[in-house]
Amino acid sequence: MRTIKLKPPKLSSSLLGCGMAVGLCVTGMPAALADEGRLLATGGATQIEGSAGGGIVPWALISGYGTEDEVGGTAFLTNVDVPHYNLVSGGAAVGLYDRVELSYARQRLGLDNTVLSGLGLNTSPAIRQDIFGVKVKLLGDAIFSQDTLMPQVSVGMQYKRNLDFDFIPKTLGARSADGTDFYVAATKLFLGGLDGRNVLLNGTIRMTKANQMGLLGFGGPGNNTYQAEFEGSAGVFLDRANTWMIGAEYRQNPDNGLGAPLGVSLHQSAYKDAYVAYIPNKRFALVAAYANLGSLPATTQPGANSSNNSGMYLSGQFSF
Amino acid sequence: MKKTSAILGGLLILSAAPWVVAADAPSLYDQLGGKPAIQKVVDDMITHVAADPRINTFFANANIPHLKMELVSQICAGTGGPCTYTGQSMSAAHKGMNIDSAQFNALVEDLQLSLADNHVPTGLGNKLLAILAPMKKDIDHK
Ligand code: HEM
Repeated sequence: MRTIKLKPPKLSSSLLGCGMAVGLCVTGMPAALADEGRLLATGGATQIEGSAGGGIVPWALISGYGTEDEVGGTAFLTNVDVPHYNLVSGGAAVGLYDRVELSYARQRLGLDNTVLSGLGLNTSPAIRQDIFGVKVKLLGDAIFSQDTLMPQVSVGMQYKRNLDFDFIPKTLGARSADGTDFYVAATKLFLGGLDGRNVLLNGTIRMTKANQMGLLGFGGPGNNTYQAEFEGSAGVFLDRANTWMIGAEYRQNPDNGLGAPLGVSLHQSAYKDAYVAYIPNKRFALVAAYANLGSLPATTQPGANSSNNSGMYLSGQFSF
Repeated sequence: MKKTSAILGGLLILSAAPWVVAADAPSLYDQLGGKPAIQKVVDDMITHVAADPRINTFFANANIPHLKMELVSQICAGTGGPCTYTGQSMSAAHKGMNIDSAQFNALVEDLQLSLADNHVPTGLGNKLLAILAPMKKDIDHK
């Protein structure tokens, strides 16, 4: 199953958005919508595990545009193509009263048939996982506390269940099929922060055992304890209306010595991306990025080394 | 002696530095174009507010000329202009109105429309919003 290729919409994309998000669209008029009381772009995009954030990093912002009196949410679909791999992630999130975010995402990592040649397999299988997320805003206001340096701070949890654990992750030495990440995220918008442009900074600390977010299971031959990893995002809004944003992200990953049973070095390295976000209205957002998904093995031939994998990241999001 | 004066001189330069910078960089008030420009932005914002069904009922019985006058003097003072704001505090002015975040943001969006109407450069508009944003906690839910 391949993702829908989302083309950049025309400015009047709310109607187009409604057509694509069948069932999510209540009305075609962005200005008159209920439950969209927050300012444009303040719901973030959806990161690849389904939480409101950038592309790969969860932010402290609560999904959607709902205020303290409103319920909002998002649905998203993301596709990343790197050599030998295709990652599709899709799901939805609900933001309750700008305080609590509940999210679900299904990820599917497709492998081309060279990856498994070392196992004597000539198939193009996929590894899938479910991710259930919850995030709670603890304190601060990323947007309005412009008179202090205090960011908005949220804590979150992502419970992940690998559906194809026995096939590849276990073979590589991963210890368990499910795991829970815990994180704390701090996000702040600096209005006019860089040469008059609005700047968004985010820092996240995640406690995790996940290999490749959990797609390759949790824990491994080298380590099976929680590690604290740093994730950061920086972005700049280019225009007055905050419809265009460019930025970059970085996300550390634990290295649990995966691959040892096969004699393969699967050294895990950090994710990185550089992105352009287009947020024409409170209905729709599109993020395109050049993303590096750390190291993934090009083959499972003994002695093979993992290589860094970069490619195109494309994500579309509807808010409701 | 020499050492003391050197230190004194250093202190003088240090303490003078902010003034030097301030003198070099014109105030946001001047960059925006002074009082006439601020008046125009406020006028057009109120026009957008009056047409905004999300919040216009709040202003049905308001003394609009007085409100505009107070807003202009508040923005003038807040951006470093030669004004003193003499109106009520933000919490007193909005007491009992029970403004919520969605209504506050609606007014911000109307201000953004006015900034766009008046071709206020993005950077100046953002700096003005940064000055007004912290007032939210004194305005909504009062
Ligand atoms: C940054 C945002 C805001 C600023 C800077 C601001 C500023 C002011 C000022 C300076 C006054 C006049 C105070 C006085 O007469 O002494 C005022 C009054 C008032 N404001 Fe606001 N305000 C803001 C947001 C809002 C919002 C969101 C609403 C409603 C949705 C609102 C509704 C009113 C009303 C109804 C009055 C009384 C007008 C009258 O009775 O004459 N304000 N505001």
